[in-house]
Amino acid sequence: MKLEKGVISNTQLMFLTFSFMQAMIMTANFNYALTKQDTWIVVIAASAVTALFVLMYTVLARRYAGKDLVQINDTVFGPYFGKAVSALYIWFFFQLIIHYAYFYNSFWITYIMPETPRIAFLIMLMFICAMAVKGGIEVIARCGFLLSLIVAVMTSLIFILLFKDMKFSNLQPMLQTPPKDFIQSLHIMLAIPFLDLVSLLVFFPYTAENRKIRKPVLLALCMSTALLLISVVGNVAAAGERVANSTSVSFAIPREIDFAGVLTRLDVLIALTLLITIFMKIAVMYYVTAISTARLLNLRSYRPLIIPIGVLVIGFAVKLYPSDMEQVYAGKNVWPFYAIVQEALLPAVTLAVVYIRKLFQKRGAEQ
Amino acid sequence: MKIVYVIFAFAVLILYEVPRLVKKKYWRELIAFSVLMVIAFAVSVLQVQDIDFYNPTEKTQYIVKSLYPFDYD
Repeated sequence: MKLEKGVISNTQLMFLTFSFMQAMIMTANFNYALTKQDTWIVVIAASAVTALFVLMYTVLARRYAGKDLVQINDTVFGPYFGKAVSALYIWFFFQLIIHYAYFYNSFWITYIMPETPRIAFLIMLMFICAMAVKGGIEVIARCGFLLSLIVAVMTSLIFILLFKDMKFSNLQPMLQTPPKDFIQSLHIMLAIPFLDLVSLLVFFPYTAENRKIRKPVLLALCMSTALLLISVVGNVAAAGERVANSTSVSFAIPREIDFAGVLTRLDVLIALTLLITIFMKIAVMYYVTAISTARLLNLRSYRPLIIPIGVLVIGFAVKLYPSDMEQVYAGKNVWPFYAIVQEALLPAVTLAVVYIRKLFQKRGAEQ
Repeated sequence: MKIVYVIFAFAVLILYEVPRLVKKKYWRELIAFSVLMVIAFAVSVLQVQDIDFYNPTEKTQYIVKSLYPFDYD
């Protein structure tokens, strides 16, 4: 039984993926302090590794065309163990919503409106996300198209306006980062913005052409990598040594734009970027959580779950960490270890089980 | 006083969703909705009363990380 009646075209899938990944412009802040001027190399390395993982996800999705993540797990691992694996995924997606909501909230409270109660932004954010999720996959995909273009234009605009402040000598010395820091930064870059593409396994069954999904996702990956490179190179070149000291480089640097005394305080563009990208991230994850839970519990519709999940997110996200710096610490040192389990390990195990089964079936047929 | 607002908000949400579920005879969905709403209500009450509780969404990552033989610290 199909839980979602809507269908998106493969072009829409591309823009949805692009928009979904754009939150990396903000989460790259976890990386600057570690790799400084080498961050752009981390971006390229992470993108290359992600391309391999996208191939892995699409192998799974094409092999079980028309089935979503929970159904794939049921088929591969059997009805009981498969449900347990699906529950791990759903718990991970649910936590992603909460952590992004907290990230969004702490940004607004710290930089824009310090006096506002923490819960105010959360309620508004979750309300608008719930509306998008209630609209279904088509609504989210249409939002993705429009919003991804807006963010791309704003990021490029900031790069152009920052151009006169940039010193490309700030990108030197190259490759001076210690290997341990480089690996940690790559791990963070993979775990936080790139590999949560695993959630797309829920979207693939609702695309118009189930089997031609590789090209749109890889194209979206290229586009978002290019956009992130623009942002990272611009920020590092303009900030120089200061990248290591700021908790939000992407926000602090555009503040310095002064274009003939007319265009100033363009940090509001970054605040808008944050608003848009986090909205898309949460809307997609919210949808994925709701529809996967409905599938897991064998419900006829995912819509009754929207309200409880939203309220739970608000309840948990208000005081997730004792302080905002705690999230920066967790994002660097703890979360990547956890996220990589669902993003890389479980899909790899799933694929391995599929191939081992195939091997045994072949042998059985030969005997 | 805050708790009154919480109860009011939950009442509005329940009144919005439950009649439709009953009308369509979606009993299974109603059970899922009720269970999640009870958890959400408990969490909200703990939050507005400023009671510290074990937040599973924060702690899971620390538990999983402790299983690894290495870390970055």
